[in-house]
Amino acid sequence: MAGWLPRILSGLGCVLFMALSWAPLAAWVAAAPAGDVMEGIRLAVPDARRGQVLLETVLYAAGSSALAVMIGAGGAAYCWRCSTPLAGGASAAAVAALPFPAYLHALAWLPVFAALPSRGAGWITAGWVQGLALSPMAFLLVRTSLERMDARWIDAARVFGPDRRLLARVLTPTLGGAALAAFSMAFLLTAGDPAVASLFSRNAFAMEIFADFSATHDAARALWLSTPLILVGLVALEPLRRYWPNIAQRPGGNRSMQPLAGVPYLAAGAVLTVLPVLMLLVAVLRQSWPPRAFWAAVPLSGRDALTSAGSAAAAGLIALPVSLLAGRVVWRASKLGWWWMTAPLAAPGALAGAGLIWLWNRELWWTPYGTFWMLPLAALARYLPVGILVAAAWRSRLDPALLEAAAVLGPPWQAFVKVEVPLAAPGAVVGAVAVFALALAELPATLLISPPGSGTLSLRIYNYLHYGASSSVAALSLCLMAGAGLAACIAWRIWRRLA
Amino acid sequence: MIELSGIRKTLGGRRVLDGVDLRVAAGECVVLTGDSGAGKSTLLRIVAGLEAAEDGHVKLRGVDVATMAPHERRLGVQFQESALWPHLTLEENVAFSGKAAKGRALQCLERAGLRELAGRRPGDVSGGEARRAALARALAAQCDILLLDEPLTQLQPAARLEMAAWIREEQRAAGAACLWVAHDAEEAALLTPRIYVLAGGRLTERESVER
Repeated sequence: MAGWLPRILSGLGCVLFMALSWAPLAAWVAAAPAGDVMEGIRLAVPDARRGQVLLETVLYAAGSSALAVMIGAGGAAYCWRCSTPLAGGASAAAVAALPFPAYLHALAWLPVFAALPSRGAGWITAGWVQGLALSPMAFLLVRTSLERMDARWIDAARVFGPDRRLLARVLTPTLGGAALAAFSMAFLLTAGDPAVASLFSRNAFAMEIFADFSATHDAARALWLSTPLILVGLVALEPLRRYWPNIAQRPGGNRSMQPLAGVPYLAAGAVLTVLPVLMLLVAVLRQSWPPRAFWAAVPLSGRDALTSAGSAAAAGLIALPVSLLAGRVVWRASKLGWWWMTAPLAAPGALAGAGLIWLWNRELWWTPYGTFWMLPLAALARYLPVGILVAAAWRSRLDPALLEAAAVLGPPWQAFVKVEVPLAAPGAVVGAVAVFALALAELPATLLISPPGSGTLSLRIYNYLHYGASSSVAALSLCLMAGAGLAACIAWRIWRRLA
Repeated sequence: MIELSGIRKTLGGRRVLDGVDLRVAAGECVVLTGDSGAGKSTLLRIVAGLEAAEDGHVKLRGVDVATMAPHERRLGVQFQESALWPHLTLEENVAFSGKAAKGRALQCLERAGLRELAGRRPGDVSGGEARRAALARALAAQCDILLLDEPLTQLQPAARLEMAAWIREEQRAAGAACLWVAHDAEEAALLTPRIYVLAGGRLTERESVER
């Protein structure tokens, strides 16, 4: 009997992925011929000003990603498989800080930068904030990649040399690929998001797209304008494709080992990562005790918080089956298939928003346009590939002998339902929670598609930020961090427990 | 029952199987030995349908199985790494392959000395116990073709003798053709006079061992 059930379900997962992640992007492709092609080409080729903005954006994204990888990969190398309280605390801090949006880091750092002569405005400060915000992601990706190493390799290296040699000769070559994959992911998330740069009075290329679409409501123009950034994003996807398998390796044992030297480095990374929470707490508590600002701000934004949680939960729930089924395909996909699954990551957030508007703002029997459902759709358009990548990474960590044994001992439907799905499900759950956490903080697309009366918490915080940090903003930010941090901790716990 | 002719396979640029021919009749047990990396497990995987040979034919029960899916070949297989599904209990693992196995799952676990651990998951038992459970899974469905990849490794000497006796008992009862991969000659000598050595991609029959 042919294994029709797994094939049909995988196909369904791919169709859903296409509808959710590709349709908003394909929409502007469909819209493009309607406009003037020559005008489009003129927009696609950056003039001197936009060329400079593009260059600055690429340098900003590359610099902040390098900082994220430096902090994250270094921290991961030092606390990998250590059972000391500091290493455990650093891992927990990284997990909790993973979904903190970069603009919350900016909020925490604004008072520090305000004391500088330049008042903190500039690419370097923006890059610093963005790099810190993305370092937990780099930490977790590299740490996961290190799990494939057998602790005996490390023991052997330590017998013959100091820890720095071990770091240079054994760990670095091993974690190099994962660090590049982390760099690539950080770059993609930075290049398409103009929020932090705008807070530091810098114009990122994605902001050009946002501003143009806000003024013209022309999806075709948004497409043409985005072309250079999309091309840069596609180039940045290549290291992710090439080195993602380094992260998705089967674990090489779980024996703990003595901590490596370098505790101060680790401590500095952990402090920098959790600093926003401390700064926000100070901002809330400084005003008064008990913290009245907190209690005043929460009811004020209760509806926004519910909308954020609801839309993120909807995005996560939809991402769960799609990641499970489409992850099955990515796991075995060719180079082309891999590109197809991950290319939406290269599109700037504003473009996904513009595409959704073009797609749904029309006379139909039913349309999500102007409703709450635009929010989860925007989150899925941007972050579904992340969920699928996580699910696919989990699958590749499974012992192939388990699936082979099922293939030999039972019919395909039974092997799929009883063995493959239960074994692959934890990865899909973690991927769905990752989508939830990212959706909770999504901003560039939300700014465009947010329906009247359905603002999100991140939108409110971002709007408040332009009026300067206040204890109310800090209180709201703490609420957002608590929700996102909790989701990340649950996901990590599932991963660790079932890995 | 098992008939291999001219099997060829290259792995990592090295020809591990170079025209392997072998026949195992019903009720017969053949042991394959050889050095690590000689291709013993690969040959077993080709018979199971988990890998395709570059050349040659595999016939099971007189039928060429080139286009047959692994589960359609109706085999009792024990994998080198046990391959017990971690989310299922030992009983559910043993009962996986169908009604016949379901009916005999507890009986087989009892024979393997694991009756009291039937409700536990593989992560909660020792390596030796997991090995015995994997053997119970391979034997539970009473298939007429058995493929066993080093089934006695990780077992204590007494348990090895007991499990070897059980395999022979089951094999005789079902009249099964058994292809058994053994790493060392000592283990091979427990089982059968027909021992083949796989070296340089070719099979050579070793001098018969009288027990």
